[in-house]
Amino acid sequence: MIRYVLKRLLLMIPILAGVAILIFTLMYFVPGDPVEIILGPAATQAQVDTVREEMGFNQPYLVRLGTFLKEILVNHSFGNSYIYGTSVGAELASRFPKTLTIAAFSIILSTIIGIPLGINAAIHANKAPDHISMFVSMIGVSMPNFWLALMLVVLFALQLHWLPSSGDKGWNYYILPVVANAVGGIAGIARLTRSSMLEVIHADYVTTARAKGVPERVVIWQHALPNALIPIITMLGGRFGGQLGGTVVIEQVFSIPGVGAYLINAINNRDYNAVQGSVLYIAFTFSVVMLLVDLVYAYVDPRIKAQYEGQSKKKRKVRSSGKAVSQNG
Amino acid sequence: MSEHRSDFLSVRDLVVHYHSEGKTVKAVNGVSFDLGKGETIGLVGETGAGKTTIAKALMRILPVHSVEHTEGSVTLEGKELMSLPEHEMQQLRGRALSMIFQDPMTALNPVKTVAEQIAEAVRLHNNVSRSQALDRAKEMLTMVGISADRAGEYPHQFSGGMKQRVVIAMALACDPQLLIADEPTTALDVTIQAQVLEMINDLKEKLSTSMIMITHDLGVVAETCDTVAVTYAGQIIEYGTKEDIFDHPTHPYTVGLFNALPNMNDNAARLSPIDGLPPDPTNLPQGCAFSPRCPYATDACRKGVIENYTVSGVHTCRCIRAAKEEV
Repeated sequence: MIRYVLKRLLLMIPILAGVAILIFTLMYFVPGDPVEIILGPAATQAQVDTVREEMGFNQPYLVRLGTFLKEILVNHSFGNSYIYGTSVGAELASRFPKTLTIAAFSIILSTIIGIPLGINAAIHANKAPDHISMFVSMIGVSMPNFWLALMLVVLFALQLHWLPSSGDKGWNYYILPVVANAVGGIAGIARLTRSSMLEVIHADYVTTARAKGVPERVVIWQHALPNALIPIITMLGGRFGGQLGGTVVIEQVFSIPGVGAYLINAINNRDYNAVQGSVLYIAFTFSVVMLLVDLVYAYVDPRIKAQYEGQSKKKRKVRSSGKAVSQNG
Repeated sequence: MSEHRSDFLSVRDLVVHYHSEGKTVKAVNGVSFDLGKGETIGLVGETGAGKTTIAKALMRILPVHSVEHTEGSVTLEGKELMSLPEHEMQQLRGRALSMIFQDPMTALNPVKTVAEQIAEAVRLHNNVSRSQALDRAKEMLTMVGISADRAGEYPHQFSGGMKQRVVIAMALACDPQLLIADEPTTALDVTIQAQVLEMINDLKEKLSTSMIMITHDLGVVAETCDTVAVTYAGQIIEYGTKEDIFDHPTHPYTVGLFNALPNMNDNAARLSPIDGLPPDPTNLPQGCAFSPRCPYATDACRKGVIENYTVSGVHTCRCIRAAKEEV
């Protein structure tokens, strides 16, 4: 198992290197540069050319790529933002907790509400409770989250004055963003849990559990659910990984200075360092989350764990048999 | 039909109908039989004859979503099971009556260790600690011929035959009074079949358990059963002791079953199968359900209800020929 984790961590190196080169190249080819934005529309062509020269934007592709990679590898830095002049790394580090808060609580909410809803629907499949919860979750899935966010602001901030409408000055500022962000997840997880549970709920081993005299509640939660979890974990992991990269719309609506808002501004301003830094950060967090998801798979399903362990065992066997061959030769 | 020959298990007029795509599937249509303490009854019949449905109806684990209608009476040691509240039935399942399932490949939960799965039943029905239950599980595994140090392994690490042993260990873990074995050997190859049957016989004697052996294999019946009930289209069409059925098969269907067996003594090039297919349970024929396939069918067979005639002693047969020949 440890071998598997190490292997996956090592695999992240080429992935991140690939992402770094790709995002640099893409930004290189995107028309426009930060100079025009820094100097504003009133600047003359001569001024623009001078600043461009100063900032090194006239250098050839390979030289600029080399500088960028050297900066990351040697100085462990993404450089400074051209627009704000602050360190991109420090900026991301200060924004990360805010994005993490929204993402983590959204996922927790999706899990603890979505899964029971889905199970309830599956148990009563094709009866009233199923139809009601699937109808409600259909609305949840199809409702755009910015619209829901605005409606929540109108109701809870403007009308009832219970919660602040924007900013991030305390925990209560996060309630509306998390709720607005989680509704789609709750509905999606509920629908997925329902269909996944329906596949296992009539399985023979569930009947076996009943035949042992296991109470129905335990049959559902301990015998059926663990077997239905794999697709649910996949979806939760995907959502979590995606949201760690910024919940752009939610951050914009509630003026929360998260990672997503930073990246969008950086792209609009052609703020190369900020874009490259943010994208690498997203690639890194996503890889880590996906590794965690794969580890959770192994925890949930012993067959998958056996596969991971089998992979490294097989390799070892091949290696030792290879040795035997070379000795013979 | 009201006399209770046995005070252990008595099934009376059991009916189970499923619904499927708007049609009513008449799976079990008035099944009655008795079983004494320590006895084994064989339920024999083709696929789809309703054998497994009878078993699940006794356990009350029929799939709720597709059952349309059940009726009849099942009494176990004087207790009526069909009207028992669910929580009381739960306490009987696994302890008073338990079931060995047909397909060992799917009957075990893939995400729980085999010991956990056996220990779960033990803990539910006995006031024991987790570790005591696990000890009992290991003891059961040893009893079915699996080394106790494999207790912590998962079903996917076992072969089909060993999974079947685990299923058997699980069913026997709480010393049930009634064991329902639903084709316990069908999924196994022949060498393992013999071992498993021998093991079930041993355990049955050791624990003096009554058993319902569901099978389509007459060889299994010969090895394990005291009495035999031949089922066809959800009815018991012939019932008797093993000797009655094997030596004097009376119903044309039972006769057909025996004729369909390969015989080592005569060198017939072909087996003689029963022509035709089992009837569609959504559309059972009038009169005798076997009449469309029966070489002796007359007009009288195709209308009315065919009664159960006594052939001799406990030997009964649901065929009008039995009435003509023997009475």
